[in-house]
Amino acid sequence: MILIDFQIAARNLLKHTKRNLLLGGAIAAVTALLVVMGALTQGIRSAMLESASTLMTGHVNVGGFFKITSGSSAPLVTDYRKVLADARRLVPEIDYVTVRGRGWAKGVSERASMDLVLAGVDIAREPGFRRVVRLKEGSLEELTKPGTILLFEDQARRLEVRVGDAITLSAPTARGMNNTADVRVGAIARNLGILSSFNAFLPSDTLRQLYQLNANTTGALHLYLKDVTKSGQVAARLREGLARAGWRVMDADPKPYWEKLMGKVNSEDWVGQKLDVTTWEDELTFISWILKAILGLTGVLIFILLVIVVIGILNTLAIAIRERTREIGTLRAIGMQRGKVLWLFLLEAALLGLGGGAAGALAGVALASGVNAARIAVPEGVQMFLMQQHLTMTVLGRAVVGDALFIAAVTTVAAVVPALHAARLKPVTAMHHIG
Amino acid sequence: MRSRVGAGGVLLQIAFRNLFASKAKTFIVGGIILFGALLVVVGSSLVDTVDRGMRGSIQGSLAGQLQIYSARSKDDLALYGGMMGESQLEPIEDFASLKRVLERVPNVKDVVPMGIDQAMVATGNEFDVALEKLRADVRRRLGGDQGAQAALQYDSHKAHVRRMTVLLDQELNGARAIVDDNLIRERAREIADRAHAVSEAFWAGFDAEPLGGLEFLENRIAPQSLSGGFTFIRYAGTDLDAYRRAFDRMRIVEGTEVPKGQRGILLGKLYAEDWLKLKTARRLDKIRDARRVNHKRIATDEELQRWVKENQTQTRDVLLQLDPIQARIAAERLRNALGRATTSRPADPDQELRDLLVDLFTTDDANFDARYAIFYEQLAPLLQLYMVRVGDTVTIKAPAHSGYMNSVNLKVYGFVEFRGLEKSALAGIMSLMDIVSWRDLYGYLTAEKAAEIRALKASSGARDVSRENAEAELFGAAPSAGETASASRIEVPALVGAAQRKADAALFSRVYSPAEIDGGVALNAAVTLLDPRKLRETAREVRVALAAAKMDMKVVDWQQASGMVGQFISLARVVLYTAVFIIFAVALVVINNAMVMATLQRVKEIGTIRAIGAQKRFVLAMLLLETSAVGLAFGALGALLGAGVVWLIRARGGIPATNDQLYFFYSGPSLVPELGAVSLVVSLAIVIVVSVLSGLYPALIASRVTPVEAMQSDE
Repeated sequence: MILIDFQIAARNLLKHTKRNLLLGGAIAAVTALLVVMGALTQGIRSAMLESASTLMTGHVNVGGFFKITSGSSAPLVTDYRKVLADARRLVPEIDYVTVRGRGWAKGVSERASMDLVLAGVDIAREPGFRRVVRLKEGSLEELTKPGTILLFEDQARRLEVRVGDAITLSAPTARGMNNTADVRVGAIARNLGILSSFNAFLPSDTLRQLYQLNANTTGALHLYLKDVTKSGQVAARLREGLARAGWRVMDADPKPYWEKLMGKVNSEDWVGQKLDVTTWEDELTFISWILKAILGLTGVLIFILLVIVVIGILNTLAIAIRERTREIGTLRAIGMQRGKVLWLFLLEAALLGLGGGAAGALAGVALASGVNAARIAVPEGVQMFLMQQHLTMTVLGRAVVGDALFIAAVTTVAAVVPALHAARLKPVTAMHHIG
Repeated sequence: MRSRVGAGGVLLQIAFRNLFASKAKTFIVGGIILFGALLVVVGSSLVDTVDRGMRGSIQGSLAGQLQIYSARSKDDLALYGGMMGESQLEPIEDFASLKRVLERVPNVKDVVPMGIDQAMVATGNEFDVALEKLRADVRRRLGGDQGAQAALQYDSHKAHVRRMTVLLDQELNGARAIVDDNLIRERAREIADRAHAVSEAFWAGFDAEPLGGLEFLENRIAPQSLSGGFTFIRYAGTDLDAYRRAFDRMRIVEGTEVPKGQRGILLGKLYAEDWLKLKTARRLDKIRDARRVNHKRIATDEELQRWVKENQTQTRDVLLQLDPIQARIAAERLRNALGRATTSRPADPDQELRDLLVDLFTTDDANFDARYAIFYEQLAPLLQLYMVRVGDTVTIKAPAHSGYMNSVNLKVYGFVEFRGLEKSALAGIMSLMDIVSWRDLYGYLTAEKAAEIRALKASSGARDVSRENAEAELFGAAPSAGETASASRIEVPALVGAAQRKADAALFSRVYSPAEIDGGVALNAAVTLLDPRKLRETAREVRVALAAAKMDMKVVDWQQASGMVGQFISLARVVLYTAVFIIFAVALVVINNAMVMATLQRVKEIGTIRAIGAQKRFVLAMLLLETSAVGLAFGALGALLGAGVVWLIRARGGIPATNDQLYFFYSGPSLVPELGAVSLVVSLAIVIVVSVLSGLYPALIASRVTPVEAMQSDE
């Protein structure tokens, strides 16, 4: 039975190939746009997650601040082994944990200088690091030796250094004085998106020496979970659990640690150690507004386009119904129920929407993979907004199917009014209708 | 001829009759076109306004119309910094000769030397402020004032300093939790100093020899205090007089200009607000702005709630600034203003004031404005709202050319802002420094230094001091041979206390001649033009002049010079036009569809017209006229509506900037769009093109209808 309905709907669509092709084309274009924009935001998101979660944040972080005086602060976690033990106890979902020192220094070579965000790493215990960072020169083993540093391509170019060259790190301390350390470039890695323009890595102990810290301190514990999407709830649980275990824990504040360091912790009225639990999204709020802006823009654009498409569908169906009034009258006269007429017209619109949506989804996916294959370089000014050096789109099958279905649903819903109109026709008047 | 006109008349008549005959189609097509036109007008006037705003802020505050820098530079000039920090430019060795060449180009108005960079600012701390007050009291007493009031103040300030010393000692001893053993050994003397300063004996002897005691506190204890810390500052080192002439938007909001030819710094007003203002006051300002401009409410907005909470918990900065006398006054004022009961003799005055402050900062939507007023009227006069005041000396540190930290002391003459750009993060964050100090900071050779080096060379034999490490050599800052440890501290041994003040005073009063100011290094030069419209021609002339003088320079316009910031506006335009293009492409299809439908319904009618003698051309013209009429009418209506929307936005005071990023793009607190004739014309043009294009295909179909076909079809 349903097959016959499909047959009728499809026949009606095919009878007016040209106009349905055009309308289908418009629907396809909108779907393709939706798919491409979705792939772009997803691409940015995954580029962010990938490079950021290697370079500057775990899925969940236990960082914190140590305040010697209430007017100063440093991004430190003292007694971190105990904190780590508690974190492991509280979060069974942990995949692995890395311990990172946090610092900021001016890197000075013979020829140039630049600001570097320093991360103290224990390279032997950084499984993610090895997976994501690809070396251009040197070897990661070098980082096991004290007094070495890993730079990224752009940084090395700017400082005009190669593997084996020395650079001086000059880090301001709370006293307004500068500590310095001379380090040797042990490895140069390929760029990893925008964040790799300012992040550099050195052995934890070397970073501690730079700040003259003892071995019980570190910057933050980066916890990597088996399932990233759980990071929010894990962070909440960890915050509560650590507080119960007797640690002083700061209230949740979705900001990166350095914003807190420079903005508010200095003027808070306490001394000693406090822990701060954040998620990767918190640490990246300073760039995620871009994502929101793109999503907003896409939303507005798609909305406008859908309004236009809906108008087109209303128009087309209205005409189709007018053309087929006599046919409808006849069908009703030989016993077809109103519901059936409604169903037939809705089916027609749904088929059109599905067809257009599917075609659009395919086109979108093709476009996205074309863009990926072309490896289009993003100009520097736009890099900051797109977080990528080459335009990369990530197509998620689920999202694409969702987009196509969404468009098809909108098309079908738009058809309800004209279809109802058709269903309400009386057989007698319909059969009398001319043209 | 007559018949032509007659035919035209008939054509018009039929076309318009048809428009009204098929209202549904007309409204569908017209609606879409109207909407499109509206979008183009509103969108492009918004983008134009952002463009104009940014052009104004960039040209008027920093860039001028043209920027010139050494062609040997590794990076392109980016006035507002790039992804990798500030751009690295090769210095222009002799700015004076560049200026001479440029000033000969007819359209050039001013040439301003610049060096833009970031540095750290060490600000004075509360300890210094407290000591300063105590020193004033001591002076007055030594001057013979033995009044009761003076004695009271002296005792009060002394108690304040003593309490701060004890607090500092406790806090620093807590630092043992994080530092390594080496550091503790290194700091042995400091620890001993602190122990002395908190001892009963020190304070017992203070009254007898106050000046000696003060000196000890100032030189040995105050530097240990961490509370002042440092913030980052972005600034342009420049010829301040030339700068003021060239950039007429510049305005001193507080203080004075730096006297002609002297050293000094003007801090960006917005920078001061964001980084130097008492955090509590700043948060109150931000809450007020959020409530006023963005219509946010404390009850519903998480961020505002967080600020309120931070103000409640972070009363320390306020408390520390108040000495016992001020604290008493503050408590009294707050009690009155908040209407709290007066306790005749509070058990713990500190705790009472703390409670009053918490009370004051416990704000909600109902009492916020009143509390804001209480803070600024009652409490603020007792406080130092900005870490740096006009007249203070700040220490600016930056890694010099050779990588070692250099520092200069500079007197703050005032706060600067740019007219119309008061809230623009782009312009407002910039501070302005005299170029001689900038050269010192970067280790570029100044005449003074050259003389010093000559003297040094003469005295120490022919030791070669290269320019690269002149400052390191001069101040003996390079690490000694035995000290190759990976963590050594390299500091210019700072003069402290009185000696420093004396040295500063001598340097600050020196007046540099224009020749000294121009005759040295700069990183880039801003050029303003008499007639900015001739930008391109002048750029060409400048290039020719530079080539003729054999100077290897790059000449870029303001947009290129502003780097990423300049590209943003192009990006916004691309986004807008892409969106408009996509929308019209889809609209074209939909309109086309509707028109084809409408035409097919009229096959019979068209056939009849053809049968009674109308030519194909007539039918084509008729249908095109119809669609163009729809396009024009609704396009004009849409553009009009768009203009209305723009007017409405203007009437309501513009679109408020709800966050920092928007401030930056709007170049101000709100975006007040202006309607450009260009955007109106463009939107109408687009609309007509689209309507004609979408009408073309149906019109062609119609013109192909033969009378016979038409009459036979049963529809």
